Amino acid sequence: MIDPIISTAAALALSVIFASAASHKLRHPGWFRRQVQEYELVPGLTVPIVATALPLAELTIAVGLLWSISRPYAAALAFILIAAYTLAIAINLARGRKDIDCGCSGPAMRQPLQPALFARNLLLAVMALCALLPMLDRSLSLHDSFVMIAAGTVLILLYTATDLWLANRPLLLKMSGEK
Amino acid sequence: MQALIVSNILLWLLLIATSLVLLGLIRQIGVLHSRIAPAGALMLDKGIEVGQPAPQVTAPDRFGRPVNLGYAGERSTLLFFLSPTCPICKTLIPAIKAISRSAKDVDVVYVSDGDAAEHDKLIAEAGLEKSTYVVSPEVGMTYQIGKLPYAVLIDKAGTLKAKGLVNSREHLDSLFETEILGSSTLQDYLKTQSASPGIHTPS
Repeated sequence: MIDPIISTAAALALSVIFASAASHKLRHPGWFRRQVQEYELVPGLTVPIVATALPLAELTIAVGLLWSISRPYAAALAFILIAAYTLAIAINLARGRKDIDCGCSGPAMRQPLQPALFARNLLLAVMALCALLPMLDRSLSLHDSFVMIAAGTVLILLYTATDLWLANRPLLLKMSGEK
Repeated sequence: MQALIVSNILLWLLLIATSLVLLGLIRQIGVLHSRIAPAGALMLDKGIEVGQPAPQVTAPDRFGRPVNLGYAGERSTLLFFLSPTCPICKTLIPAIKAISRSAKDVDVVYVSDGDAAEHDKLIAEAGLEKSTYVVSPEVGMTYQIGKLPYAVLIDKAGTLKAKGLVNSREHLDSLFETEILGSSTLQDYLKTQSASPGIHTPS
């Protein structure tokens, strides 16, 4: 059992994160198709299907997380999707392909695959778990709603900051000549 | 109880503000990285030597009015060589515009060649309607420009003060820096610095 504040805040933040991820994938379908192809995990013929299905799944999750009835299912789906993305990154890192773009944050912000992405995805997975667990049944005041929205906002801001920070790291390493 | 609720709300608001500041800082670091990234390779330059009188050319601007380049006058001239097909040139246009706004005694002349329609598009995109924009292959040939974007600084007396391939705002600023320091090239500056004892600290 988990307090509704934690569950709702996590669900809100996840919903916004998934909606933004789906939006940049849907706005640049050609870019995302190439991205799926570069990961070299699905056979060539199914690339367009996967590239269309993933953003639609993300959008469904984003919408599903907003209502308490559909939330556990959406959160479970989110957890599976995050795990699948992490696995895809892990397989390509194991292949030694550090040079391909992660494709995590749209075409405007390129970042190579790096182990630090696991930490980021772990954060997302924990958020999905928080939204997945059954909620404690208690009455909610106005102040509770405020805390939910505030905590959700902070989570989104911190997630975006972490994402940018991770994208900047390889640039700095390149400048100082380390690998 | 009231005090606790107020304090809690205040803390949340401050935490949101802190996260916003953090996000802003990290974004700025990213922007800085993209500004310093493309440093051009050093190349052996041919053409007119720095410190010599600049070659004098007269070329028509895009309205057909003659523009005198390389002559002695009341103001210094910055020639910026660009092409509508060169992406780095476009990213430098805001920096050039900033220079023409802030440096009072510098005339900025954009020099290019090629198709007129493409130039009109570039001028409309970058908002260069009021700038002097010369479309003439002659100027580039006279100054022997091989690579773009290239900038040439000519002082009031018509002397070529500094020139070079400019890939970033820093390269552009360095052209003016050489005039302030009184050394025509970076190599000259380093030579005079190593001749004087002690460590140079920029003030």
